[in-house]
Amino acid sequence: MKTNRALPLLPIITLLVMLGPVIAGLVGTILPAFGHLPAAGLTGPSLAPFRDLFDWAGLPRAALLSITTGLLATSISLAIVMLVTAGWSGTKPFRTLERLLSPLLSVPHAAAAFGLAFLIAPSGWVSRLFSPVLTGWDRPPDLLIVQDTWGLTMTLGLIVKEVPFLLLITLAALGQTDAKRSITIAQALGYGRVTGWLKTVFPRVYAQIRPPIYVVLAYSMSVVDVAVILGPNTPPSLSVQIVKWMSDPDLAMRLEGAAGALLQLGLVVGALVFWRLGEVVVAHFGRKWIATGARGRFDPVVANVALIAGAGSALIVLFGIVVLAIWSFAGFWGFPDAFPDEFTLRNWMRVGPGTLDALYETALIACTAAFIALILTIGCLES
Amino acid sequence: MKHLAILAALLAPVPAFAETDPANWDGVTAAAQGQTVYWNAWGGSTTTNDFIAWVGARVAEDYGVTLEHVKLTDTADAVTRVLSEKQAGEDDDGAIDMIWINGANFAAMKDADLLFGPYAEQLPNWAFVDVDGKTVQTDFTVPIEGYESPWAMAQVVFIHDTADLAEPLGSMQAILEWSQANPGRFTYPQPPDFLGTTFLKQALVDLLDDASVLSEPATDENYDAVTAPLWTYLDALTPTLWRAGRAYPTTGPAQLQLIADGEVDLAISFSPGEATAAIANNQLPSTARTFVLDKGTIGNASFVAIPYNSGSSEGAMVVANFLMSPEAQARAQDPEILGYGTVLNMDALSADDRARFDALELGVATLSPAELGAVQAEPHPSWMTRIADDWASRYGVAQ
Repeated sequence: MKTNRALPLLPIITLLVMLGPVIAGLVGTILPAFGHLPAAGLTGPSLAPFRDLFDWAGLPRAALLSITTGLLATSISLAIVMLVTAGWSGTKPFRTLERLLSPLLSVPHAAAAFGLAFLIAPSGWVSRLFSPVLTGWDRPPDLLIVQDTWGLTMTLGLIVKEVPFLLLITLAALGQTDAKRSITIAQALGYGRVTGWLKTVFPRVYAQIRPPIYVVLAYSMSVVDVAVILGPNTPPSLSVQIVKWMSDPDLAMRLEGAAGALLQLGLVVGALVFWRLGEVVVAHFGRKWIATGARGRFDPVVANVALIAGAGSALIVLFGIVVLAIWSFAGFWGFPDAFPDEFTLRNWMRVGPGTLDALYETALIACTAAFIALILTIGCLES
Repeated sequence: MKHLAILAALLAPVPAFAETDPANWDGVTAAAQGQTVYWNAWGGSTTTNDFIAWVGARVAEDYGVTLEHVKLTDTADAVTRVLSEKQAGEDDDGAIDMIWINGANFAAMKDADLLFGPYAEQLPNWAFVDVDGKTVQTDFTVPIEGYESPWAMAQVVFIHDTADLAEPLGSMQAILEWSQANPGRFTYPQPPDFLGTTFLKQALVDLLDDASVLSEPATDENYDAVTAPLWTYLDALTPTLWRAGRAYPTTGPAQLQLIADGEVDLAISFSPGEATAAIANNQLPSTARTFVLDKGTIGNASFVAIPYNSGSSEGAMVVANFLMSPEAQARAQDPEILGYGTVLNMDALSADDRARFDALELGVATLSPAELGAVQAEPHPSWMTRIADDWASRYGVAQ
């Protein structure tokens, strides 16, 4: 086979493309975080940005929100995917769910978040469908559901988008773990579906999907768009507040933003370490659990709950898209009407031309990025 | 001096873009031909965006100027951009040619010499502007001196859904009492959104017996005493707000959506015609109406300014001039389109042009000029900056 002499260069280029911007960004964050931003006439070093950051009254809650929403979203979506796979892989419901979830991977986070907000807000679609007949509400109740203090709605918004992602990753990993034979033997020994899978396949699958899970954790902790739409804003999560500082007309606020970004980085690293320790603890108790030889009395219940949760997360995104579509054609749509007074093309006519331009640019950027990434990846594997 | 200036001009490297004297209008329109003007304007309202698109079509037709609307969420972003360009030495052809601006942002840019001009009073359509009757030569008490040109008058009104709140409320105190009796039915956009800060200003102006102190810059000595009634008021109001003040709509349009959703019954607006336009656009129920406070409400003008480093200042002047034309002003005032108040003096117009305005219906939810009543002056920008910061630390992290 004739080897190409450019091929050995590709891994080096890939490293540069991957690490170059990250390192440049890190330098461009660390310097202002310590008071050095010559473009704005500020020279460091100084600890003032961190002092300002820790003086901000919203910091404890903003940081806590980042941690709790990240850990909750990651662990719940992981649990749903693992239990659904354990209870149903290879069955017809599983194939249906798989087909339902795969296209949802391509739904943008922001669109899913808006759809969720339109569904579950006190004046949202669910409330409208049952009002006033069942609820007695002529006016929406004053309930803090969207933008709730603890970021639970935001966590839900993250879960419904992470479940399809983790499921696809898991499916890819299953092929390399010899799952079928393990589960056949486990069941021959009298283990239930879920318990047998968790005891024999899960440890191997988890080792395969660990990096993507870390990605989900880091992403969930630092997400901005979902947090802006569904998260609280008095105060917002740390990542949103950083964006606000960074776009403040007062350039000096960028220093505080940079300090906040370093704190956010620290929080993410800390959460990853915490998660890694959690893995050790789970493995320890998991081994004990395996040794007990429990065959899984509650397996059918667990499997059903997991399937409902998985199907529920898919349905939330699907109905969210449906309600977005209705809104896009809606004339006036007051509460508690289940549907708009009239349907109109007005919104589409209004934003159509601009949307086409944006669509073209989005597609261009996406194709270019995917093409370059593909070349680099294959190049690395080949050389 | 003059010779020195000419000498400097000759010695300076050839400028990429020669700027034309605003008074030489033929020269301006000739240079504007083929220029692209990037107008940075708040893009949060579809009706406004549509109007700007229409302006773009008209100036392309008449002057060969291409207008691109750069949609901002916050005008301060544009100020930052021009400032950054100045620091980076981009003095000839910055990314921004025109900004929809007023108040603190104008004061900051004028102060930092970031604006092109004076040009406003040399524009041909300035002759139609109501200089005596409307505040178009000062902006939040800051003298304009030709560095921005007006294009719309705004005044605070309150939009109420008469299906749930039938009678107008005459004062901030009355709004508080109503909100206490009807908890969860009122909110305002979260400061520092401009409409949210406008609510705070309006509250302060209405609560003070004598608001004249606000026309001078805030000082460390008087700030606490003057604003004390505002914080007392907000401490009483906040627990009665929508979601008990634990969440706020992010913008004015988000606040209107809450009325349409039946979540709240009362909202603040800085455009007397907005309610009518929103009803026509299915964004408000047909039962929405507007009212002003008994003592009057804050009013101001919207302007456009041209950054000092615009490479298309002639094109921008053409757009600024067109915005002050009877044609554009009558369209902006049409309640079905925008419902913005005009900056023009009706007596200065020709009979045909006056007829354009006379033909306009007020709109179902728009108050007549007489009903809009007294216009209160905007406080000096320094008040707003401090009040917005204080609001954020008192209520923005309240949980």
